[in-house]
Amino acid sequence: MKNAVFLFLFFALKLHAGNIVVLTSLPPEDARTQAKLERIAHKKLNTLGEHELIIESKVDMVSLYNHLTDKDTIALIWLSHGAYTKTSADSPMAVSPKLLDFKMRDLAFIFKKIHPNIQFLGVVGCNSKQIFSETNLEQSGASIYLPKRKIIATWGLRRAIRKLKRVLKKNNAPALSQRPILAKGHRIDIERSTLGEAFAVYAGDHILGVMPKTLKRQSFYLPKGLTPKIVLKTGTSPFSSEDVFGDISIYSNSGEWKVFSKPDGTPFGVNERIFKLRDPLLEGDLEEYELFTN
Amino acid sequence: MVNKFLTGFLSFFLFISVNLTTAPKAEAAIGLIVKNRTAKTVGGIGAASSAVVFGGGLLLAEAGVVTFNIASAVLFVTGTMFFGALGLITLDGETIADVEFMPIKKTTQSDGLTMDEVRMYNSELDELNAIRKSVQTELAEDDSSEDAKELWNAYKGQLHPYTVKVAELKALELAKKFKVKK
Repeated sequence: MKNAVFLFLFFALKLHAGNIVVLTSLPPEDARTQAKLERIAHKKLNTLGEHELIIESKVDMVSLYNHLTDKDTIALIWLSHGAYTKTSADSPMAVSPKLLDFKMRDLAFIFKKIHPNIQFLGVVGCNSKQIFSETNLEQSGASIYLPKRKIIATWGLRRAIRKLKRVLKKNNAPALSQRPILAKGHRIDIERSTLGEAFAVYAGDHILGVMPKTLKRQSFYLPKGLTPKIVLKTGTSPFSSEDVFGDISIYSNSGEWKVFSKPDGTPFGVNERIFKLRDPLLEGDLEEYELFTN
Repeated sequence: MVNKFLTGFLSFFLFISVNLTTAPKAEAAIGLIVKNRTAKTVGGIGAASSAVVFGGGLLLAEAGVVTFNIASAVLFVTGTMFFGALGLITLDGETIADVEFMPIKKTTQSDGLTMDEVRMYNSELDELNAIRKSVQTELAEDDSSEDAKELWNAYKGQLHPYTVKVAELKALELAKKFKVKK
């Protein structure tokens, strides 16, 4: 009987010990470095036996978003190229910094939603600190590792892992909170006529979620108090001429959402869409929803 | 030793009621550079794909990052297209920088802008940059700044007049700081 109780507690604790996630997103020509990084991650992190180790490569925004918002993620390290150009702080125009996935799509904005169970977040890309200078990653409560210069991939990963281990040791493995985090907002449904690329859904500075490329319809929630303007982004280069959205519509109880378009109806933007609500949001239309679902 | 470069005139057109003049200068057709598939971009796709291998390890950054030291204007540019919604800077004839409009965090009396104008501009930044990107992609290979201006004029009506005013003033302000290498 005692053994049964012991075994039950052992597995219960192990189930809730959390995942250590290492995500890499390097282009095909960096395959050798990719393999080296995975070997380092296995060797250095497999010793943390009580946590499940998840290592993924060629990660896109969908997988990144899912792990960042997963209640079972206790630590996450991201590795990819970064692109940063220094400009004057008061310049009204600037080259916006980017964190690039294996297809050179920017996904720095995906880091705007981080589950509070994450104790450590490392973003290993050149000049990550500057890339995220306007995004307060510390707000999530996690310890953060961001290189502030150009960095060699393997060095960056080793440094991130050393810091991750110090953080987990210091925090002494608290149980992960499984309680859903609730908020109030207006439900919107996004529908597309054909399958295409995945895109992120934004309102102001908030990321509402990510629509995978395999889905034609998905619901999101616009948090209470936000201006009714939705931006959809794929993160592809503004110099890319291929539009991957197709026909997209947004529905809600508050009325019709209109795409920001040219006089002939063609949407503005390259691989992004801006939708605005014609009428004000209905106050009585608020619903309770889970802030972190994936 | 840093070579001194000659100050050139920026060629762009203003289409607001403010009484400003421009000095014309011939420049590379911007459409050609935008459409050039081999063009390197700063802060974007092309630059990052030329990642540097440093000491046997992969450097996670673009090669040849250019620093925009706007305060002292020590940026080498070969051409600019800077007005209204279009912000493109060409470097070395084959590297282009996609420059976006950013939020204005504070305004001073010398800006000549009201809080309402700045607030409206900040609230329409997504739309302004969307128009900017559309104008860039619509330019044909042999299009000039006149054609770009025409597109901007066609689309700016989709924005609030305050946003248009602020965008055009800020673009002009920034463009004046660049020195053009001949």
